[in-house]
Amino acid sequence: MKTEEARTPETTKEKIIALLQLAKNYVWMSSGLNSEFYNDPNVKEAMSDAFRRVKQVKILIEGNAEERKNEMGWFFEEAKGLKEKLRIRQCNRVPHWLIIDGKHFRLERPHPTGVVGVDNLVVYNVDPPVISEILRRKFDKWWGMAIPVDP
Amino acid sequence: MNSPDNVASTLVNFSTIGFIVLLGTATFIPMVYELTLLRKNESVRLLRYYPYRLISRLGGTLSIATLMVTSMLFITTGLLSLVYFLYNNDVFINCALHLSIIIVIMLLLYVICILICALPFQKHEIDQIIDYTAVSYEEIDVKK
Repeated sequence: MKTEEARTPETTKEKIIALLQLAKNYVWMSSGLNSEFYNDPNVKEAMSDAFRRVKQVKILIEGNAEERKNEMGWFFEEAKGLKEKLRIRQCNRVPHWLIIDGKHFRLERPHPTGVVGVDNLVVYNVDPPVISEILRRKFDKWWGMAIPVDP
Repeated sequence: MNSPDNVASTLVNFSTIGFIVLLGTATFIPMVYELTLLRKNESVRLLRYYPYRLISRLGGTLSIATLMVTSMLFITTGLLSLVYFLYNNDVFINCALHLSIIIVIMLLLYVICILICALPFQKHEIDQIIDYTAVSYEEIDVKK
């Protein structure tokens, strides 16, 4: 297991792109979908590639998904094209995590809505596996309580 | 003293006890593991302690599968010993004896592996994960 901290938007971006490139089976993501961050061409490309490559994508949006449709049009277009495997839900408040194949994680400290978070921990090859189990179950719980969104 | 009949009856007892113990462990451990997982907020924190790390390793899929397979081998040993009583053919007792030796070696390796796997503890990394997941998520209202 290896951990790395990211404390600036640039390093966070690099880490998220690196994590997405590792995805083989599934991507679970909880996020505020900050347009400033996710409209970056490199992030966009990494996300699109990962979404096409994996078998399952779960995106849990913090806040109102409808409000994000204008700013994050490309993402919802992508979701329409991958309706079979990409599912979106929305919730009121949720920590921003990225779970890749249950092996690699991005955990972010809570921050105010609308700003880019700068306190991130990236965990590669999580071990012991029980940590992955705990974190996945937490995400699953939020997912179960959230409301489905039609892209 | 060590007549094949004695060896066969010993093997039947040995395999019966082994089967019950291993199958019992293989069904009981996942229950304990699941119960510890219910304590989501403390689970990662509990990894600081060796007994919990040991339970989490024991409760892993590979570990449970190993226990199940070994318990099936025990049953096979017992059956071979019983078949010996039916046909009085030494081949069966030889097979059962060899199988029981394989089982004991397997169990020994399994125990050593599990005990060693549970030893390492990346304190710094686990502390970081605890720190980043410290928010009381159960209190977060995810409903909209």
